[in-house]
Order: sequence, then structure tokens, then C-alpha cells
Amino acid sequence: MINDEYFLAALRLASGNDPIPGHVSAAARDAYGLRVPGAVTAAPGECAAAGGVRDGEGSHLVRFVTADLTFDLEVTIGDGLIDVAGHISPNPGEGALIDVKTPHLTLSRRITPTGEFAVTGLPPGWLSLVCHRVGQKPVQTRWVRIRP
Amino acid sequence: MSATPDPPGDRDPLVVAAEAAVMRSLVDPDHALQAGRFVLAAARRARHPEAEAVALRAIALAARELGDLRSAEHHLREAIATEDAPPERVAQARLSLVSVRTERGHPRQALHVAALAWSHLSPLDRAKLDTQRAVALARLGRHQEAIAACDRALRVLVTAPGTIDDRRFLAGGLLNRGLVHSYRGHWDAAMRDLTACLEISQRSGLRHLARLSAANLPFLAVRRGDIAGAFKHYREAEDTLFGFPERLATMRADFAGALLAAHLPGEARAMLSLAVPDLEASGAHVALAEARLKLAQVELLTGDPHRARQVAEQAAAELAAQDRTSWLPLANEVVLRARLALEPVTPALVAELVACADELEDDAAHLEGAAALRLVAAEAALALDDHPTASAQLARLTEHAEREEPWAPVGTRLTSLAAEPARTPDIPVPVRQHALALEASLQEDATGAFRAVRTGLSEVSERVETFDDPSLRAHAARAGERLAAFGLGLAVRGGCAREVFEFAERWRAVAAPSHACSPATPDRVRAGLGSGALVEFVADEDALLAVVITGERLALRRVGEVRAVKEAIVRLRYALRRRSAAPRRDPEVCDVGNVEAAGLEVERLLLRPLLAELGDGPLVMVPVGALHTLPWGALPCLRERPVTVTASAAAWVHAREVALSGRGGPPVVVAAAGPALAHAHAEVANVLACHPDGREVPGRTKAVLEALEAADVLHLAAHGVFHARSPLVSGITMEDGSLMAYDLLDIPRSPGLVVLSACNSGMSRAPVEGAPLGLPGAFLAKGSSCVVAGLVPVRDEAARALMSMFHELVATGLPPDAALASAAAKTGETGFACFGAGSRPLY
Repeated sequence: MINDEYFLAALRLASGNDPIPGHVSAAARDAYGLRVPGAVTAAPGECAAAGGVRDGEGSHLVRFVTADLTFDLEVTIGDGLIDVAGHISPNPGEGALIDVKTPHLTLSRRITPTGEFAVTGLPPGWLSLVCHRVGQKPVQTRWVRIRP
Repeated sequence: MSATPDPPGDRDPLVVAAEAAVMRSLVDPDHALQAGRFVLAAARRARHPEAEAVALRAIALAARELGDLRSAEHHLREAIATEDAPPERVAQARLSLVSVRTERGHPRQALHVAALAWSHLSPLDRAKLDTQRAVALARLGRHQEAIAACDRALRVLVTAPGTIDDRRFLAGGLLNRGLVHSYRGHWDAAMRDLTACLEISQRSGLRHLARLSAANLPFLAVRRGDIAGAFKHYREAEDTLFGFPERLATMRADFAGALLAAHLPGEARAMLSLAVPDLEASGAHVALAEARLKLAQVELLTGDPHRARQVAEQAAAELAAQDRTSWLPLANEVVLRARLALEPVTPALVAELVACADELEDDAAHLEGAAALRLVAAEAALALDDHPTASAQLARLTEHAEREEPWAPVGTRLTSLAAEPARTPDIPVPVRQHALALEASLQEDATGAFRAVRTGLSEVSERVETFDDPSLRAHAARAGERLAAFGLGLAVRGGCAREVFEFAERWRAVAAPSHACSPATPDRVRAGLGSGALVEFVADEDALLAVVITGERLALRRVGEVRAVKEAIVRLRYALRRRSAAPRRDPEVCDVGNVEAAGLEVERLLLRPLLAELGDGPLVMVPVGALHTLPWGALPCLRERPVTVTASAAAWVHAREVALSGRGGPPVVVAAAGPALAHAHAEVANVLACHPDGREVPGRTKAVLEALEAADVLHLAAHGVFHARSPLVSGITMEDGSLMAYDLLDIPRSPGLVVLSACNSGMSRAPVEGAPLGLPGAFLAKGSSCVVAGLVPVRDEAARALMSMFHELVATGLPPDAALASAAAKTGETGFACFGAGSRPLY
């Protein structure tokens, strides 16, 4: 299975048979730098479809869930850039912050008392959100790719 | 392939069969590939080196047409290496290898291959070789020589016997020359050559070559300013090139380059994201490097300087590996502009920007880009307070511009020279005028700076006037965007409300539909305001400001930060959409508090700084940027207050005049319901019951378009779709398809009041201010004075309740803006807005 292949590849690498190209190491370091230590990962979940609305097409909806948090995201594509609006339930409480991350930048926003947040003008591409709550582990969504 | 047209009967049947396969390769590559393999096997069995070499060449040409450059090169090299093959057959294989080597990224080697072939070719074959050398020369940036090679070749080919192969190279030579013309920006010459190529290849049954020339039409159409036509050509080319992935990808990449030049980076990005993987897969290194460079430019323009820098560096490495040094400054420009966006300005970076502008200037094809980059270098120098460097760079942009001599005695000049500056073709007018304005403001000559900006904007206006299509007008106007921003910044720093208002209106008029071009003075605005107020929003870089005009005052107020307001609007729209999409009785989402809180936040950021000025009468809002997407009715402080949204003060004055000229008597009301909605027909019945002279028409596009010609009021209850990327494709869903904004460009007139009871039907995107593109703008441009439409998704049932009440109120004599405000307050459905001028009652 795939894990065996990884294991064999790791053995080959470790024995020095197969030196790692420089750009691979650099990419690995970059990817490692994107992790949020100790974060709980929120996995994609099912979105409820809307009915009875006079809207010809829904916008881009994504949902991520953990045992105790649900992230609802809506991505709108404008003139080449994207706006992200979202809602976290149940409300993560006083002092909670949301980080909207792309591989190159992190934008921090306060979550409104009703659990909503928004960022605008992001480049399309990979996107992940981290919810920081007071006195609890951060929760990070999986990376999702938004295509323009 | 031979230049001696012997009757086939006297010639070796194997060679004849192999040559037939060569001839077929362009017309039917799949079949030619089979035939070539068959002849090759036979030739090898018969030990016939000439037939073997020709068959290998046929296989190679077919493989190339099918997008497999590696296989093409492999078979051509085999043909060249065929033992005992006649030298002219080897030379012909080299002739074909020239373009394959070029496309695989080795134009220099291709020229070497051509030199080896030359001496063994007949004069006619030499002409054919010249058409192929031209491609390599063009890739190396040697455009003059490429054109000369084509000219020479075409003179010979025009008088050739006219075998299919002769015609193929004639058409191919025209194609190549047309492409070089287009590299040099000679669009009309390019169009001439490509059209001739298309004609010859269609007449000769060279279907594929016909497709190739057709594939360049999208690109050329954009360069000539016909974007709608370009997309039509693109769709045709997409169909005809199906099954030729490399050609399709190259076409998309070329098209993307043109879209990029036409200020459509979003469209260009979509094309390139389709093209780059296909080019990688087919090993077309030359086209790939160019596509990657364009992708880097797009990444920069769409706000991702990190990616732009990475992609540009990769493109630069690929271009350098292909010896294409003339392209390197373009890649370097992207890297430097990306660094400028990511890093603080340093003297070293300014020096690099200047050096890159100098390098770009060495190539005639890049003069405009060089000028634009020089302006950026001057601005960067100013950010460091390095006035000597800035002045030196500005001087290079303005040295040919004639200025009004400030010391000329009055009366000695008959005309103002500044109004008709000398044309220097290499420096785009907006760039030159921007440089003049910067020079003037460095000398603290505000009057001169404003004059330079105005002159530049009126030049842009003239170019905009050559287009009818609103999206083309808007995109053509973008050429003046940075210049306008500079002028607005000057006005804002001057702090005079009247000046800011005049300037904002001047810029909005550049792209506006022609009816809204006559300027509106504050006094003309006041004449129609009564007890109300007009608020014209402007964005000066990151700052949002507003000019407020009331009966007594004209004030300039700083509102706040563009980004904070935009995010608050995104949150409000999201809350409204969640509420409309929620399964009913879901208390978590149906909580009206979310919408209320989000509305209060927008209000706090956007209107609190202005409330003291606004009084309590009706409001006219002139949005900027994200404010075009704001459902004003959802702001608690505007509850029950009439609000009209307009593209500019001038557009509002015009719409009011249209409304006042309306005829007397009860209005003719026409209503139609779209498909797949439970409440649309009931809504139409309710609406018609409010008016004495009302009738229903079928919910089909033709019936609705016909109704537009006679009705005073049109009401549509249907699904709506908004396309941010191509706003004129946005439409209302009828039974037989979408009634799009595009469909309204040709109608003779439009009813005074249009009510679109549909989601998102009031949404617009404004590539430039003054010309929001969408359904409301399309109706207003055709003579409607007021459009009521939705800015967010609305629930079917809620729309029916709101609209029934709205029409009841209109029928009692309330003007549309007041009727909408009142109906929204009573039903709680706040997602609709009133566009144009809504203050005149219909009864």
C-alpha cells in the first residue's frame, strides 16, 4: 500500500542512495513552517443546500467540522481576487480570533459576537483558517484550494 | 515534395506513397501517421532509403500536428540519419526540423539546422525553408529579419506550381508573417495576412491550417479592441482545435496575453490556468516559457506578488536556457514590481527599476512597458525623497511633451498647446501626463498638475468614445486609472470639497455611458435634491471619503478605511445570505440579530461620520468599489428612508430629467414570471392587481424584450444570476434561457420603471468608477429612470410579500424610492435597492 511505498522511499533516502534535491527540502521547510503547533484539525463536512431562494447559482460554500466547532465559509470571487466570509458555531467566546492563512500571509480578524468574520482581497489559491480561543487548543481547518 | 511535378506514373511508387503521406499530414494527421508507418515498413523491407527518409518525415509532421513534438523530432532525426538517403531529402527533413527545434526551445540551433539544409534545396524549397526560419528569428526577437525572410519566401511561393504543399507553405508563410506583425503591434497588417492565410487554406482544404489562422483571431480581436468578438472567436477556435491540446493551449496562452493587455487579468488568469499544464505536458518549452511569464504578470496584477515573483523567476530561467535574452527584461520587470509590493523601497531597488526600464527601452516592442516602469521608478525614488533621481526619470518621460509656456504674454498664443500635446508614440499618454503632473506637483504647481491630469483623462475619454460595448468602454478607461487616482489624491490633499467633487465626477464621466457624460455641478444637483442629500463616495488609496451635497452645504468628510468598510459589507452580505438560505425555524441562523449587528457595524463605519450632514430627507448614494454591493436598506439607520443608488451625480441628474419627461395618464404595467419558483406567478397576479392598466406576458425572453418597447413599468419575478467576472452575462432566468444584460445593448428603449424581483439582479461590478456593469446599468443606459433590484439572495415568499406591498404603495402615489423603503420596513426584506432616480411618483 501507499504507506509501504513511503516507508521504502524513506529507507532509500536514509541510506543516502537518493539524495534529496535542494528545492524539495526547501519546499518541505516551507510546508512545515505553515503548521500551527498543537492545533486540532477541522475536516471538510457536508454543506446544507438552500432551497426556495431566487438565486440561480449558489456561491462557493465550504464547511469544516471538529467535535466541538463548525466553520462555515463562503468564498466570493470578484475581479481576480477573493473575499472570504464565514461563521463559527457555537460562538467561540470572548477574545477569540480567526487567522485566515495563505501560504504567504496570515490575516488576523476579530470574530463578531454573532460568530462571523470576513476578509477581502485575497489571491485565489490555497487557504486555511485557524480559530484561536482563550485557554483552549487552536483549531485549524484543512487547506482548501480556491480556483479563480 | 519534389519541385519537379513529374506525373506520378513515372515515379517510384514507394516515394509517391511516402510523399502522399507528407501531403496528408496537415490535412489529416491521424491518417498520415498510419500511412507513413505503413510506407516506412515497406521501404525498409525494400531497402529504399529515399522512401524511408520521406516516410519518416511524414510521420514526424503528423506527430507534430498531433502535438507530440518529441516524437516529431525523433523521427526527423531518424530521417536525417537515414543511410544513403539523397541529400535533398535529408535537407527537407532538416527544413521540417527547423520549426520543431524552435518550438522545443532552441531557436538558435534551429537556424543552424536551416543553414545546413540550405545548399541542398531547390529555390522553391528554400522559400519554404525561409518561412520556417522566420519563426526562429521571431522567437529570438529578430523581427525585422523574420519579416524579410517571409517577404522573400512569399514572392517565390505566390508563383509556385500550386501543389497542396506549395499552398500549405504559402498559407503558412502568411500565417508566420502575420504573427510577427502582431508581435510588433501592427494589428492591421497581421489581420490582413491571417485573413489571407485563412482564405487560401480554406480554399485548398487545408482545414488544419485554416484552424491555426482562425486560432489567432481571438488574440487579434482583443488587440483591436473587440473583446466580445474575441470571445466568440475563442469559442469557435476551442471547438475546432479540440483534439490538438498543444495548439489549443498555445491559442489560450496567446489569447490570455491579449486579455492581459486589455486590463482583464481575471480572464487572462483563467485562460493561463488551462494552458500552462497542457503546454508542460506537450513539451512545448517556448510557448510554456512565454505563458509562464504572462502568468507571473497576472499573479502580480491579481494581488499575489509572492507567486508572481516565483513564477517570473522560473520563467526567466527557462527563457535564459533558450537564449531568449530579449525577453529577460520582461521577467525581471515582474520580479522588481513584486519586490516593490513586498519590500520597503531602497536606493538599490530604485536603481534596479531604472536599469530594467533602460533595458526594456532597447527593444522597440517594449517601449510602452519601459515608460510605465520608468514612472514606477520615479515614484519609488520620490518615496525615498530622492528628488534628483525622480526628476531625471520624469524628464525622460516628458522631454517630448510640449508644455504651455507660462511666460508667454497673453494674446500671443492662439491655441493652448497643453490641450494638444505633441504625440510621442512610444510613451502612452496617461504615463506621460502622469509624469508631467508629478513634475508640476514637485514644483508645487497644483494648477499645472491638475491641467496635466485633465489633459490625460480627456485623451483617455477620446479612446473610450470609440467603443459602444459598456464593458469595453470600462476596460479602455482603466488605462487612465492611475492618472485619475493621482489627480484625486491632489484634490483630496487640497481639501476643497468642490474640487474633489468635480474631479470624482470628471473621472466617472470617462467610462460612463454617453448620456451621463455632461458634468453635473453642485448647483444642478441641488436643484433636484429638495430636503435630501447626495453622498458621493471616493477612494483615495486606502482612505474612503465622501462629498456630501445638501440644499445648504457642500462638505468633504473622511469616512474611514476602505478595507474595514469592505469587510463589514462582506459580513453583512454574508449574514443576509445565510438568513435567506437557512432552513426555516433554524434559530441559530434565522437569528435576525446577526443581520442587525452586521448592518449596525457597516453603519458605524460608513455613515456615522456623515450623519450630522445628512438631514432626514431622501438620500442619493454614489458608491465606490465594494459599496456597489451594499444593500443600503439593511442599515438600521436608513430604515423607512428613501435611498437611491446612482453611478455618478451626472447620471442621477440625467435619470431625474428622464423621469420628469414621462407622459401623463396611468402607466402601462407589464409583468412576467420565470420558471421553477412557487410564488412568482402569484406575485405577478398581485402586482397586476394594483394597477389599472396591467397585463401579464409569458416568461420568455422574446416576449419580455417586446414588452420593453411599449411598457412604462416592467416587473419580472424570477431567478437571477450575477457573474462577477463577466457582469454583462448576468441575467434573469426566463423559461427559454437567460435575459442577459448583453441582450439589452440593442433594445430601442426601456420602461421608466423596471422592477427585478430576483436575487443578485442589482449587483454590479465596476472595473472603473462611473460605469458599474450589470443589469441596472444596462436598463438605465436604455432610458429607464429607475430600476428596483435585489443585491442578495431573497426567499421566494419574502420577495412576493415585499413586491406586492411595493406596488400597492406605488399605486397610491408614493415615489419608488419611498415605496421600497416603506415596504422593506413592513416586511423585513431589506435586500433590494432603488437605482437611477426614484423620487418621482408614477401616479
